Amino acid sequence: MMPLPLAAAVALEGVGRGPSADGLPPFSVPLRFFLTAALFGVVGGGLLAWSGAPAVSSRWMPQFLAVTHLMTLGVLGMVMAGALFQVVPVLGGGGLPRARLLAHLVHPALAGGTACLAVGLGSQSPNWLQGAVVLLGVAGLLLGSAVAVRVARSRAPALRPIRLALLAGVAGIGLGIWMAAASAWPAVQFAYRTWTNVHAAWAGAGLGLLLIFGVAQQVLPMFHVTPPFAARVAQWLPRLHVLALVLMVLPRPWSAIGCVILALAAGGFALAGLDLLRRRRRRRRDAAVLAWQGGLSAIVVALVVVAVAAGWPSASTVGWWFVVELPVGVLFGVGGLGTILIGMLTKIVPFLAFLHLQRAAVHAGKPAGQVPAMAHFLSDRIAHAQVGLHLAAGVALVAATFLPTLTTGAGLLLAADFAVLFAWLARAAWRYRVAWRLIS
Amino acid sequence: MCTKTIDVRELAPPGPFEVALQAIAELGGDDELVLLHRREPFPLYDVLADLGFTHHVERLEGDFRIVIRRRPRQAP
Repeated sequence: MMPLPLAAAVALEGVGRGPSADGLPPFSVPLRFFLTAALFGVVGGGLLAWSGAPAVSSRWMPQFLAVTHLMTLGVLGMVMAGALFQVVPVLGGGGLPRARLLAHLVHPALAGGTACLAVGLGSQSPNWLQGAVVLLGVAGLLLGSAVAVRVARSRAPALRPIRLALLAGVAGIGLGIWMAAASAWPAVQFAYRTWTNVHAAWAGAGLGLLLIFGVAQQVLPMFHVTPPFAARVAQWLPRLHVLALVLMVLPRPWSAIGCVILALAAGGFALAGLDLLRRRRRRRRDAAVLAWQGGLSAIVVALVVVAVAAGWPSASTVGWWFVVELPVGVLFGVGGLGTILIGMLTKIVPFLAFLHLQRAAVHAGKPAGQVPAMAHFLSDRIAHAQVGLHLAAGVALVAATFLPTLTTGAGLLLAADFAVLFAWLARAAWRYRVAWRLIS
Repeated sequence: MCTKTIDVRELAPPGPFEVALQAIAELGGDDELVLLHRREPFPLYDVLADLGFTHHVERLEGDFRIVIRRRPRQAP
């Protein structure tokens, strides 16, 4: 039987055919990634609920590692990959090379690789990890090369920040694949404990944060009519951010200095984003604004705790850092990156549906008035409920890291959060299909 | 020939796209439409070409000025 997200995407495949001079691929291309991300979220939440309190007793617990990678690669990675297919042409005027074929290859490789990795980490099975290394290697290589080629060719200033994110992604994802290979094949050597933090820093604070900050420079002024980021902030803080990540690879005291610089650079960028949102000219506080505010605030708090821990004598070996490392990671990943990405989905999915239908109406010689409004694909009420539910799940997860008896409830809340996401994405896809048939 | 200038810098998507489509529908043969935009509206360009319009982009301080005209008819 065909997996549900793929079936939904295939149902839309006939929609939006035809070459596009600006490289905008069909709506089905990003949608399959978004639908799959929601399913990984449901599975991640369900696994956490099923595992219960033992899962959050240590970051090294197999169940926790499985859930972490379902949420990071399966949810965050899937959403980012799907968004790149549409965001790059909208911001840069030209799509990823052979976007449709690329999506056909990257989507199953990323989905299959994430599933193999979660099973391999959860069951400590080398065979599953071998599958994960191959599939994630293929997905990373294909998507990374395509984005690199596109960004290198483009003169659009909007795409420049993606270069730094790509650099961090090569390091962070590359290290992760190497670690999985070392677990899968005994011949491959790797010092896990030394490099796990570097992997997490480069993938999460590097690829994740730099990509979000890069997109924020365009999306905040565009969707929320904020002033642009100050030139100094946009130019220098991301470079300082990368310098901090490099320092974090070195032994103490350089790694500690790197953590403090990261908190200053990335925390400074997040605070600048919050300030822009406060000064936005479009005063409506829609769900995406709430998500940006909640997510950026969570990132600032997480980075401040990391900086304090880094400066604390012997924090890396004993003491309170072991108590807070788990909640800080959850706050950063689910509360920060996750909230922002879900908020962006509430904006970009209705916008892309509307944009594709408008273009279809023009191509078909139909009046633009036939195209349903963006609210037809996602109402304000559901968007607010989605962001509110995700924030509640984030708070419950952080609480569960202090009070493990809450783990099952927090896991169920997280699963419900992503079930709602899947439901409205699927409904938006269906309504898009109906509207497309009427227009064409 | 007359020039119509529309400032869409304060509009959130899909406002600029809708306003541009509405404005070009009312454009006379020799008229030109000037859009003041905060970013380059790449998705609009494909639609403009499809509808028989040409565009020219000028960079202003941080903003963009997009001049849109009907494509001249070629002699048979």
